[in-house]
Amino acid sequence: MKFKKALSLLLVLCLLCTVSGCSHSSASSDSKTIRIGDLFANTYTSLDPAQDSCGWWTVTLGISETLFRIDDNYTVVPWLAESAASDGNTWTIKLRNNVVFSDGTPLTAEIAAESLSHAAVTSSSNTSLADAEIKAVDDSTLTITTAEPLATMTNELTSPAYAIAILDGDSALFTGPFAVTDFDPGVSIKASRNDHYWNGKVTLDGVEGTYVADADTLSLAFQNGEIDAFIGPTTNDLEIFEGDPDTYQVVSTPASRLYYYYLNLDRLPEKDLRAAINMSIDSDAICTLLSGLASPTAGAYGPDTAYGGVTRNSYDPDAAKKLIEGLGYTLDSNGYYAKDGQEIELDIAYYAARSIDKIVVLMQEQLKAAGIKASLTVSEDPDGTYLTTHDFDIGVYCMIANPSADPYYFLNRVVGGGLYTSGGFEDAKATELLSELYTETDTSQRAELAVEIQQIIIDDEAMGFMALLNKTTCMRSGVKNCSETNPVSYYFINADTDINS
Amino acid sequence: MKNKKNLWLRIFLFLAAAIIILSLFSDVLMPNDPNATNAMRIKEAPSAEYPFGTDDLGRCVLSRVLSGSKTSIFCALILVAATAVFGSAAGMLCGYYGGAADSIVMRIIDGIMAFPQMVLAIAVAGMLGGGMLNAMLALGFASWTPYARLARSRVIALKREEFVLAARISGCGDGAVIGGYIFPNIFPSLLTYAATQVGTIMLGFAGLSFLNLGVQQPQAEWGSMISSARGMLATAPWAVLYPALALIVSVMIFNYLGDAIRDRLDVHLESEERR
Amino acid sequence: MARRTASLPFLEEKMLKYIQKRLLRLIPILLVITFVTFSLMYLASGDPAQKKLVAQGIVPDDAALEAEREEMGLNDPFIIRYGKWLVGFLTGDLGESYSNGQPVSGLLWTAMGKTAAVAVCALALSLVISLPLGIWSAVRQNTFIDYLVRFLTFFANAVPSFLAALLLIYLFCIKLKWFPVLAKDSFRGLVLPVIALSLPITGKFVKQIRAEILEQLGEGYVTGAQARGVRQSTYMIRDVLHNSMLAIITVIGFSVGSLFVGSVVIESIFQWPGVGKLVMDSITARDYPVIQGFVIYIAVIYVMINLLTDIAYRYLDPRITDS
Repeated sequence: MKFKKALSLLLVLCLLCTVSGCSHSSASSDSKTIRIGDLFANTYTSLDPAQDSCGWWTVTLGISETLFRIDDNYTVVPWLAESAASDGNTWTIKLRNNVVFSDGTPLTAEIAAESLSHAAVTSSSNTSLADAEIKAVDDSTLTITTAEPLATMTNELTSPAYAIAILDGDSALFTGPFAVTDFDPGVSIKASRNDHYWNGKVTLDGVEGTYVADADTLSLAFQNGEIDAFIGPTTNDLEIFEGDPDTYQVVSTPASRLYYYYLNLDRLPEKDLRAAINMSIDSDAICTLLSGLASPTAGAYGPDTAYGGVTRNSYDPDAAKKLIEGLGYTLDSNGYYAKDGQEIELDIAYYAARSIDKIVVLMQEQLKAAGIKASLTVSEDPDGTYLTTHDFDIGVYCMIANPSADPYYFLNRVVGGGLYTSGGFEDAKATELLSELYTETDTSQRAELAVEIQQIIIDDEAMGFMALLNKTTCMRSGVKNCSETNPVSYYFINADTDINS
Repeated sequence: MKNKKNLWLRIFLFLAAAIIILSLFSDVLMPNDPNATNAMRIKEAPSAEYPFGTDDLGRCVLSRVLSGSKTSIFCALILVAATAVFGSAAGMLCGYYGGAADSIVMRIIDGIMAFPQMVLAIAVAGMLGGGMLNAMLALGFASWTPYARLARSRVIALKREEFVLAARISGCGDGAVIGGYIFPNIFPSLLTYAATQVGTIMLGFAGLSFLNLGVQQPQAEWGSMISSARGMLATAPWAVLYPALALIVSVMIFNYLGDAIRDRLDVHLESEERR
Repeated sequence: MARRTASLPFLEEKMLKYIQKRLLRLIPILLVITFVTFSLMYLASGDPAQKKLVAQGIVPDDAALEAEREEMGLNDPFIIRYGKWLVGFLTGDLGESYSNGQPVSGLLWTAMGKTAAVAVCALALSLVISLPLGIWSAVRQNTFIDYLVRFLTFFANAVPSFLAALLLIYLFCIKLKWFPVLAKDSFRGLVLPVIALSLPITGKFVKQIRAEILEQLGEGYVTGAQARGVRQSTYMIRDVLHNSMLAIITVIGFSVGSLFVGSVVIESIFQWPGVGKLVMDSITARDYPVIQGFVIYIAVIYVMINLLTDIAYRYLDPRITDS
């Protein structure tokens, strides 16, 4: 029976070994560091803000800053700059005179001009300054000259790609409240308080940003106290967090990430059919599905923005059915409309991110209710597949429609040609209005032009605007001032961010 | 002893048959349309109308579990049958005729078997993209080889047996020898191996679904149901646990059945089984 | 018959010859492996030049695509491209990642070390659990204990690893607050990934060990020992366990594949920066050179480990002849 004893002893030992690993309590450090989780940080592989979308990460973590920024009311305000004035093709920008980098180097117009010139030619996501001539006039003044007048210069300069940096090989110096101490490309970034910060006292000792690949893992790590704050919970997370207000704070702010779809005009030449499709999709139901994460919209921008005043047919599956019947289709035994034995069958192309995979299932059912059969085709990379090949009837996409507090960005993409002008939409009037919008300086005129262009798209039934995703910031209790009321999702950590453990 | 073996075999045969019949009649048994979404009735707890509750799109979980049984079980059974037939045929022909074709096919099999089965499946599915057919191709590509190797080695051994030699001398054609003398002798081994593979393949589909390489929406499949509802463990556990239960119980039954068949037929599989 | 001995010099010479022969046989296998891997990449739908540009966040136009194709050598015929790639592979150059331009072999080596740490711990944990359980269950064949252990092994074999990992996180992190969710290189963070990774292989181990011990217990020498009144613990440890080593080593060898597959899922969930997470990220980003590098590395490691297993097998049991 010794053998048995030996065995039991061995078993107990194994258990002890396994459990001993967990006897320590969770370590809490004395220094106040906020830990941020991000689902997309794997794409931030460089500190150079002009590379891909790398600039987002450093702005998010309060490391880098831009000349202008967007405030809580969606207006452009100076940040590192003091003022800007336009004289036709040339903008003159005056810098603040008290800005210093994290090593104490003062910000001069020369440094800013060099930083912007580098970004202008490097950035692939933001090409508005590609041909611009950027010059320092004196210590605190610089000029930017473009071939065509660029009315939205200050809006453009809010882009994280134009964050002001001193680049030296792989390292970079910025002006934000935190300075990088450790950078593991695509994985994590650590930064500590910038003692030279130009704009007042920095509350926290440091900030740590970590890439978390899986949304559920991120949420679980947040619940377990390993992450202090993050942006963009799922509906499930929201339910958990809102059910426990003592532990979690959730703040939702209307923002500008737009869910929309292209209708393929070459494959769906009958306008009434396109109208029927648009009338069958119920924005309200989609927002119910995304409970609390999104708001319904008629146009590309929120109804409360200056360029939100568009009108469209309301959700009405019965009217949609009448339109289809008017085209000579009849319901077949499967409950779908068909002509000459041929059912209407639409191919919905989508990619599985930001709950789009759920939205399309709902769309499929809504179309079915209107007698339209639809199938789903998922793609990993919409830009490289269906947007390029136009191989869809309905192509679902999601884009920040208003990143710089101005309508030109989105309208230029979906009307002005290029990758995001998909589905074969072409309209001479819209193109003409778009070029007017490019140069128009008066804000209310710009808003009117933007409304007009959107209305053309809507009246032509070329696209469907479904919902705007709110910016939802989740913070553990005790975390304060995470720019949670700002609509822009890359404003997060700042000098006033605080954490009470 | 033999009686006990038979008893277990009967029990698990009965259970497996019950699952298969259940999934065959799933269309009739479904209380609701498995794909019908309802934005107003998201994540409802189990009730009379929705016995297993609803998921995050307001779909009936019970109906989806039933509908998913067809995908999960039938795709696994079809794939096992297809790979078994193809692999065994290739193995028997190679073993029986030998020669250059045999060497080439065996080198290919060596190459494919040099990859862990799921690693190859993940790579193939990753290259082909998502979708159930692609997932089946990926798993099939990686899983026909053990049958071929098994069949080939048995055929080579059997070829030297007297009764086979006798049959050949007495003028039986190749087809008759393979079909009448060789196949009946290697069938138990092949059947046993195939039976142990059903559960493995079902888990393989589930794994591919987790990696977004499985079925496409809105088709129901247990692995993808578990995977897409996994964030709801705290808020709607029924959406995760019922498909998980269905998957785990089915895999266990098919694995037990595989073992019972092996015990009953008293087959010893060597390395093939351990993969 | 309880112990096997062989005259050592003879054995060594024979072993060396055997190893030499096996190494030679590896060459065609490696050729097939590289060919399969390269063909998979070649057949992957779409244009690698476009994929590379898109992965880098560039919206490609025709001129850029053509230039990129020329630079990547995509205009060469298949066999030349395979040849070039094979030469690169043999010299340790697997190309560069589409997403960040880093050499694939460097990325894989760094990640491989991290994966090995988890895998070795998981393997050790599995053995520590499955050896006693397997023996116990075999010794008590057809008792309640045996049925319970077998039920548990079947259960462990039927739970998808991602579900097991999530349930572990839910229980030990969210409810009990014992472990962190994000492993992040720490020792404490390693515990849950190791447990999650070891679950399915533990199920397999118990099953194999039980079967092997049962077979040994049926051998004549055990009956003899029992008849002679030798204590159970004595013949169990001296003979049965010793003779079961062969099977156990084989099982460990074959578990390497399961470990790598498990690591893909487990590392993605726990954010452990190993090869599994690397390949998962690469599948999402359609970063084909990394997927390709992963597949070829795993295959080579798998083949090598199988070779080592066979050599160990032969060393322990010289009766086995090469078939």
